Amino acid sequence: MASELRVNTLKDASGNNSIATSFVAGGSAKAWADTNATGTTVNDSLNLSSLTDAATGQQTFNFSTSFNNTSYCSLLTVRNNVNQIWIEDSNKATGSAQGRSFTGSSYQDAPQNALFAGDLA
Amino acid sequence: MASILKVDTITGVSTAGSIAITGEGNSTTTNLQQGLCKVWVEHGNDFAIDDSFNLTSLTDDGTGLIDLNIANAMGNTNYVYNGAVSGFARNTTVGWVEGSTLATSLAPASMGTMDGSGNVSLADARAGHSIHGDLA
Repeated sequence: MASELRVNTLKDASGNNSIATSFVAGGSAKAWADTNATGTTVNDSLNLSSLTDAATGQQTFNFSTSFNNTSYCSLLTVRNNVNQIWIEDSNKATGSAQGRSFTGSSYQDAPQNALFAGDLA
Repeated sequence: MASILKVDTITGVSTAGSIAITGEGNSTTTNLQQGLCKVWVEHGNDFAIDDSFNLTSLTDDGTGLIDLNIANAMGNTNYVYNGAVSGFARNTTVGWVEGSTLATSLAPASMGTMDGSGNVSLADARAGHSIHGDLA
């Protein structure tokens, strides 16, 4: 049976380790994805509708549920590479974000680990 | 009305490992379990653990190389690792995870500095690491 619980604070059964439910909602990652190097496969994800191979070294993460604004926090790490990496600000939107991997002279494909936290719509 | 719920374990009704929580905009929901950070650690440049969650230990594998030994293993190796390095002035710091040796209970992280020409030198550094994904 489906059920809904409305509380302000969670504690363990001993009454310790208190945490406000606002921290649970606000502190949880809202989207993440582990992808392959070419940006064509999503190995695992949360809140991702699709992945777009935008260009070499550039992968666009399309969210199932959008963020409320574009001020969400983005983290990006690549596997096996030591490239310069970043979330491209000019392509950051409430419904998508783009991770880029750059060697210093050219873009390079790399498996991307992206994480997003912030307010959902 | 303010309310407090005291429990040791929260379990979904329909699916034990899946609980929805309402998003900040009050119109959507997100998955509680999948949004939670499953592992995190902050360590100094001596690789001593300052604080951590769901970590048994760190293994020093050499200069700039460290293994995160996970207490409760991940369900698969498709988890999301993120790391941030600090402590080097004047240099661009870099961090990455070695996918070739990554396992459900082991995340091998590397760190170092990058000069203006893009040359990387492994180096011990203060760093923070986090892992999101599915627990076993």
